[in-house]
Amino acid sequence: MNSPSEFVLEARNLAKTYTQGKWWQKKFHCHAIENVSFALRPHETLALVGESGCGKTTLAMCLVGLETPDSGEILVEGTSLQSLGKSERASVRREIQLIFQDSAGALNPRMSAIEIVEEPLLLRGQPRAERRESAERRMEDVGISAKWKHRLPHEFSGGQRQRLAIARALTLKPKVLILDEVFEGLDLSIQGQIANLLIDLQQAHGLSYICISHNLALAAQFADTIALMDRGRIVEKGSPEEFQRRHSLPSALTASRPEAAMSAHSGA
Amino acid sequence: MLFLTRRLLHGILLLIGVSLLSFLFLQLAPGNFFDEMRLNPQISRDTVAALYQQYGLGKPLPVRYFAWLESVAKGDWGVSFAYNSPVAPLLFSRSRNTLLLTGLATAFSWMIAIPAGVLSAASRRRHRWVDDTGTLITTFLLATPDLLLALGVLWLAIHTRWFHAGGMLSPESADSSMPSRMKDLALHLVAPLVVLVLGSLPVLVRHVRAAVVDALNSPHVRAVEAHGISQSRILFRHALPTAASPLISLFGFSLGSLLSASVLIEVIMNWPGLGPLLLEAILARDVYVVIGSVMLSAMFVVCGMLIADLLLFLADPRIRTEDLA
Repeated sequence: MNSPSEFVLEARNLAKTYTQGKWWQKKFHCHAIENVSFALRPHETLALVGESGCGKTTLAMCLVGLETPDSGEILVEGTSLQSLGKSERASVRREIQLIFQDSAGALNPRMSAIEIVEEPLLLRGQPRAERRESAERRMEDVGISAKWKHRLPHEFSGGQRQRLAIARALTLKPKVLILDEVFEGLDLSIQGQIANLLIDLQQAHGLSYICISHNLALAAQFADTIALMDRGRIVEKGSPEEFQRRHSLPSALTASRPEAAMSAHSGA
Repeated sequence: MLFLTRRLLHGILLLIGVSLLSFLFLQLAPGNFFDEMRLNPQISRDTVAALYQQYGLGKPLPVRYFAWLESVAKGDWGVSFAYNSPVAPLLFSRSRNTLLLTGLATAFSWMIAIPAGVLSAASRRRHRWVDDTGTLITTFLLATPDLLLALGVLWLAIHTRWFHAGGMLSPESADSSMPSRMKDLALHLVAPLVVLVLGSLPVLVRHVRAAVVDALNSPHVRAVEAHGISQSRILFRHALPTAASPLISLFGFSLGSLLSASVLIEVIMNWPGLGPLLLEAILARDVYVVIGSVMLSAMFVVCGMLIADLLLFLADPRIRTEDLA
């Protein structure tokens, strides 16, 4: 048994089943996730890979509390969420933040950039001036100039919106960021920029990532560990190199990992 | 301002279109006001022909249309054949009565529908029975025809005598003091008001509920929920402003239909509004009264849409930034 502090986030035997059909209809049970277990170390990046509908997003929803798992246990730094009261659980859950795939949809279209980024800080009850200052710092951290703080989401590009979503998630100083298909819909150069930003932030803030993707090649570039999901279960787990050997991924994939790109860039 | 100016121009064009089509369709309709007079042996053919010419019905359509436009500019809105008087004063006194009824009904409907719809939407996960009860009541009201509702309310009025069963003012109240006249008016208002509110409420509650449920399920609301923001802030700061846009448009339609929403109820409840006047005018082919009513209703639709646009402009910063761009 691992010591409580070894993992920043741990899932044990998580299961979630959706039941469809009214009381007069035949019930249809969809086992979205079954018996899912994993453990995430500090600074580690775990890629959850699988085809659409395999339960990746349901797992993310359970981890951030948007869905309640039917069984199993979630531990944050060794503390089981089930053992906590409602307010304590909400406070511990803030250590895990989710960034959605659709950046255009995930930001309130009626709020300015600064209002969006400072929104989670309301949970801390900080005065407005402090919230604004902190939010501006987070915007600068992700490469969005504070002078654009009054712009609305539709006035930013897709990549900039994704940066804003990352800034908002960072305001609560979480330990784990769940990246749900964050590279989806972005062109290759923007994907690279976001990946580099995430690596920088990981180093600066000591973050752990769970990177959800249906693209194994992309996950191989980004993750320390890959977990392959199929029909709600984790069916295979290993390092990108192991996956490369087992699944005959092009060797260029691991060589072109953002870390490699970064070190090559800094060495140049 | 560009946005509002554009909308205002659309409105004016729409009114011109409505007036042209009204003239055209009434021209195409068979018969006219004087046809029944011809059947009356006490009125000579010459008298009927003279009246026909006097009111200009023998002139070509464009001539009549421009004569009517001139009359609108003067503030007469044409002449009523049945009342032998300008249409405008007739319409305006009747519209005032209709607006008193429908304005109150619309205000009450929205005041009930917004909290009911929001409560229904917000309780759909944790207190399902509240949502289910609301859905049951609205389904029942939706399935009940307005006519049946009106008959039920009239039956209640007659059997309980809590409020009056028809009309707008009792004849004896004409000489009484202002407070007692107001009380008399209020007691006459109850029956048509209850029917109009119960008739429009289920549709509004369902729209409010659907808009709030959509807003609560929208990705940006789910995103702030994932950040741990409180449920009340999610509802009031994020979901309700998102749900407001479709509801503002619907509110514009409510304002637009203020003159036409109560035609049936006015006739059943003997309310001296625009409804009975319009019905009489259609049956008697009193064309300028019909055209005047249609134009007045169209003006309300245009004003309702303009007010909705103005509210949307104020409520949604995206429209403001697009307008400035």
